[in-house]
Amino acid sequence: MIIENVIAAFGELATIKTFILMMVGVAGGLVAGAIPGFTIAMAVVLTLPFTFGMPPSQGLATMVSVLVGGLSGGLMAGILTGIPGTPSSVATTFDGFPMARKGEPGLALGIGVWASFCGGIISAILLMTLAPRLALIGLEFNPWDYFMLVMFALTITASLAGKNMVKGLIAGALGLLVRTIGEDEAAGMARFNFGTDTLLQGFDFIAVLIGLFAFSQLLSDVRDPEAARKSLRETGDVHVRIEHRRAIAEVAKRWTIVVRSSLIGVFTGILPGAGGSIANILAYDQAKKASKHPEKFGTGIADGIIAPESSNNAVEGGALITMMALGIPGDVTTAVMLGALLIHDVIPSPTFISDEPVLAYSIFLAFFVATFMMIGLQSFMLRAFVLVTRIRMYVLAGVILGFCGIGVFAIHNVEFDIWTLLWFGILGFTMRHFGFPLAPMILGVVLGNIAELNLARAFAITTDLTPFVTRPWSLFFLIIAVFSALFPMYQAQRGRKKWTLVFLPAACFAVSVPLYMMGGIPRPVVATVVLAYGAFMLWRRARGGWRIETALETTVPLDED
Amino acid sequence: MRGWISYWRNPLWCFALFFAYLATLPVLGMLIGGVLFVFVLLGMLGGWKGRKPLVHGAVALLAIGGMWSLFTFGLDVMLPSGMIFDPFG
Repeated sequence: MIIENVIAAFGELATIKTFILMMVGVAGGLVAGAIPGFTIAMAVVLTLPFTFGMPPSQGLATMVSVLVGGLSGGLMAGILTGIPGTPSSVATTFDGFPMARKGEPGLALGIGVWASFCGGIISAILLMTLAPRLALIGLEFNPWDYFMLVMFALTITASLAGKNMVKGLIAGALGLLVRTIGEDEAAGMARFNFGTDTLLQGFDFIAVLIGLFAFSQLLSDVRDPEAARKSLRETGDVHVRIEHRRAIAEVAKRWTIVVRSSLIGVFTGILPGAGGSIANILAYDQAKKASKHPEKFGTGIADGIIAPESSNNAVEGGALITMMALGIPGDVTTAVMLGALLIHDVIPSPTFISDEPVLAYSIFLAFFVATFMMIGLQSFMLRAFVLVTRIRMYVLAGVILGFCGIGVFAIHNVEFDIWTLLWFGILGFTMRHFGFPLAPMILGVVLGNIAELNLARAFAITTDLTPFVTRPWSLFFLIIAVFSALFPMYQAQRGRKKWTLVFLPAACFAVSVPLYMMGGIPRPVVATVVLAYGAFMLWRRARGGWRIETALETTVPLDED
Repeated sequence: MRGWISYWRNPLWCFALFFAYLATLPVLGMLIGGVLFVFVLLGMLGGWKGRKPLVHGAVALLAIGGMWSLFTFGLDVMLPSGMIFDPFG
């Protein structure tokens, strides 16, 4: 079945036009990812208007190519200039830049490129195998479960804002509120339209996304007049040849780091809101902890480039697993991909992979093929990167603002959408200035109607609230939402307050309850393992006389790649 | 007040010019309006000295003209032509 679908998807993608579009997408993504201040999400958002006229598989393959290119582009800037192109490549600079300064930029780039490639391939394989299985679990979901899943996604995204969790929650609620403007999809009632027909349709969510994210980012980039007039590299040339052979040998020698970091990337990507910016730091940290020579990290060693680069490329495969199997975007980039699917009248849900197997496998295959294209194009795009780094930031921002206007109009040929872009650009810029994370708001806008429709369906079945706590999946999501909301407090007080000693055991005990309620054999077995682990932690702490351990300061940045 | 305006000068120019671009869209259309928007914005953000207006003009014309052509001829999207190009439209 899988092979048949892969062959059918290959037939769909195997056209010269699609191939060229994917090449252009990867190349564009590589350059976009390499420019600090120009995020991958922004590149994917700006690609969206070009894909309207294309068949769904072709349009999505182009967007996936931009995404894959963008994930690898960040390493060029990080290694050659010490300034990470995207937040996902922050940890790459820790060892990549020192290695380049030691006179081996070609090897550093090669290691980064091949580690990215391996991460992408591992992630693509997991995407192809895990997404259909997760979709089967998604088929068990009822409206109560879906509503609670969305609430969990919003809570965890807000909680990743760390100290700004309240602001994250406000942003998420604001996103949900924005989505309520216009005609109520469940009952057909007009809401917040103030008597106008224009607002009856609601705001186009792609225009809202571009405004909130791209427009406000560009305004932030040009805020400082001095910085806006500077280019990334004022003078000088970068004549570097990527040393592929030596790099492959170095990466192959460290295959355990590649596999571990890729798995960290995939599982970070599966979590809503947690993306490349978290995965690359986590993978770097784990590689350092597992190393026999942790003191060499930061001096320009291969391990320090391989870990972040393989993890950040693996993240998007993980995020696509959740998006395609459950219809829940893992981060801003997959939220845009979800928007692209909706534009092509494809609604991601647990039945998406079985209903639209060719399209689903086209996305899987595009991810796979684009990873190979990335390897081939990296050397060429290095030259383009050198040229782009000479463009002043204000020129880039001005031109992209012009493009945003045209692109947003092209969605529905409606002028009101460009006004939406402007108002949400101002709102996004103001929110950024006051420290509100934008990812929860974007997810709120994207997930708002899913939450509302499922809540309406749940209440149409019964007005009783107890299914929210008696249905196993709903209770499961409710419990992990509560614990993820408390997690920043736990992180801040760990090592100082005694209650933090029972936080993780309590989470294990609580999570095991719905797993037992699900019945069957595998899930109660998992529940028993989780319960035993919680009991073990509790026993160890009791044996240690409830002594408070030294806290490790770990702050997690909210992913807005 | 002057300090505040000076601090936020660039974003304020972006807002004001984008607003003006949208307000004049029915008259100027997307091609002329877009080129003018990018040209004036680049001037306000990057300055008007020396050869800069020439470079900014070329950038605006190539970027917006290219994008407009791509959407109009390549993707068959009807972008607003404005009263100048289409006075009876």
